[in-house]
Amino acid sequence: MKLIDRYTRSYIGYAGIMLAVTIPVLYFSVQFLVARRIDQNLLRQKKMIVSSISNIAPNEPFTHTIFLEPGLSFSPAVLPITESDKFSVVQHFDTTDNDYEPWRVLTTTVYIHRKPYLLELSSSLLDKEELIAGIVLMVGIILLLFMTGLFAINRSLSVNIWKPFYRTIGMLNNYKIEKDEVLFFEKIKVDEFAELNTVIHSLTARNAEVFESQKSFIENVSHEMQTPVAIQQVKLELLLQTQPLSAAQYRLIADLMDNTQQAGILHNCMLLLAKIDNRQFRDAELFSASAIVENLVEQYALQADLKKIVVNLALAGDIQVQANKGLIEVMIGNLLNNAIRHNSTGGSVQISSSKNSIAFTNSAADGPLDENTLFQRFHGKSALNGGTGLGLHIAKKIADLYEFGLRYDFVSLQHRFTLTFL
Amino acid sequence: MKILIIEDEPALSSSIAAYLKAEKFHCETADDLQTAASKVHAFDYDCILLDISLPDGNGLQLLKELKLNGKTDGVIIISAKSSLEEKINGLQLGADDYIAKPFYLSELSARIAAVIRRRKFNGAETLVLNELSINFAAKTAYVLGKPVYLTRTEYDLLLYMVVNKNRVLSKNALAACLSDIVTGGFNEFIYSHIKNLKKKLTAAGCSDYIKTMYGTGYKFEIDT
Repeated sequence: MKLIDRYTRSYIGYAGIMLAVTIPVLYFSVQFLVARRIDQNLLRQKKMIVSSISNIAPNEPFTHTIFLEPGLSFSPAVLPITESDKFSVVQHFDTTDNDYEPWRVLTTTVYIHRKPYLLELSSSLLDKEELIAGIVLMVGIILLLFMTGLFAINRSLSVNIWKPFYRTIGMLNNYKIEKDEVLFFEKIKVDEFAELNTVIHSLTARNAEVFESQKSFIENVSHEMQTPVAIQQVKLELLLQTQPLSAAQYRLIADLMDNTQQAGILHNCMLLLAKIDNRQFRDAELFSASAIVENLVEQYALQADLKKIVVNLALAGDIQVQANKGLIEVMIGNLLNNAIRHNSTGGSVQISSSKNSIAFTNSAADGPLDENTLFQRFHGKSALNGGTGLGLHIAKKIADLYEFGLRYDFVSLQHRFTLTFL
Repeated sequence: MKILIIEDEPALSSSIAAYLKAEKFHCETADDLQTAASKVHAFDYDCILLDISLPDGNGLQLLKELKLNGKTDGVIIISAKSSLEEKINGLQLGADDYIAKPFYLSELSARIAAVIRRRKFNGAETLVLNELSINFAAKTAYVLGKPVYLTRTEYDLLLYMVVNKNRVLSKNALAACLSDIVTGGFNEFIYSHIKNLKKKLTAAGCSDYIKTMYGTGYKFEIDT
């Protein structure tokens, strides 16, 4: 889960709980405080009345009228006489609003001229109710706005803070060691990300160095490896011209030349493998794989002729490929070479294609091949057919490099290699 | 004919020179860019063999210079087999041909002959060897003035042997002239093609110059 979503979840959870708890608590606390206030007021009123009553002269006539006030009523006490104060809530029907309204009532007994009177003090709760509701709603809205605002600010800040991080990730995604680049980052204020960028920069710089040194090593080796072979081949050819030359000498020299040629081929194969491993074939172009197949079939015509092998070319449509052209030529060339080499005399080779795959089928001189070891190095190397044992291995390596599929199956007594392009 | 061999490996340059001397070529060598540059500026050569990987720089630099001075005719670049880019670059920069190491001297010799032919005679030369003559432009061989029908392969083989006359040519070298593909074990097909070639030539009245050497090599033996 993304960091910001984790944060959001926690925040919303916290905010939700806070609101769910605070608002009811607020409501009930305010309710309680207001009720207490009202009761205290009523009691104060009662006290005032009681003290006023005590100011009445003993022989003064007492009329209710003195105390005629809304919310205040005297009535002769009835038995049983309750001495203590009693609080209650009573619903009065109000004719103005045409509805019942709640009142807080304090009922108590007072003595005037030694006669008991029921004193009832009332205070309207209607305004208070609406007031409390209004206050709680106001506070609720303010809280909600506050929390939402805070959340929005935090979120937008987060997005900004993480921008450099995502930029770094984007650059890393595009980073390929074979592109031989060093990643540079602009200065950023967040220390942790700045440190991350510095480390990545050093890492890529080191990689580029290593890659460069490996490449130049391979290039040097390339030059050095071929020189002795070239000299050998050339000197042997000169030796061949010397006189007198016996048949035995000639045969020895001819064998040496064969071996030298093999050594040369082997060197080239190993070098190619090393270069592929080292990701040195970065440049690619768009070209027709079908055209390459046709070309190679022409080039191999002589070889096929020797074994009286008929090569049937049945390419449906044109397959365009984006890759290093030289590598693809090697790959297809090796498959074709294989089809001719591991074939019986007078056999056949069939090359067919579909929308994005080419199949090389050849009549088998032997039984089915083992898929598991087929593409390994030096599998199938035999002195008889003069191969290096690397042809298929190289073809597979090139196919893997571009994530093309190269499959083998044995069908109707034929070897079939299917090359699937993307 | 003057040939300049620009090659830093002395064993190679001396071998090339030794082989070519017998063809009556006058050979000069240079083992680095600087020497090569001064020689090229001082003389005109019929053909220049240029090794790409020289100690003091890439041989292609010299090629660029030659092109700037309009002197790129007759350049054959020698490159390492595994470097396709070098070959493409070289040809794009105006080299006439390229040959990859390791190579056969006989093949190199054939390419030099082709380059000089193109340069000097626009390929319109006719080579006459006793009763055999070859018209390069028409890619036809004539015996006693009459054309002999040869397949492409047979013509290429004949040409190769004629250019390298009186040399012992191994099967591998002959195979190399026909196909860029270097594979072991496929060189037996040379035998049948040469057999057909000999038959056709002798049938047309040509002396049998093509000699089989020790069962596996060939030589075009002729007194000139």
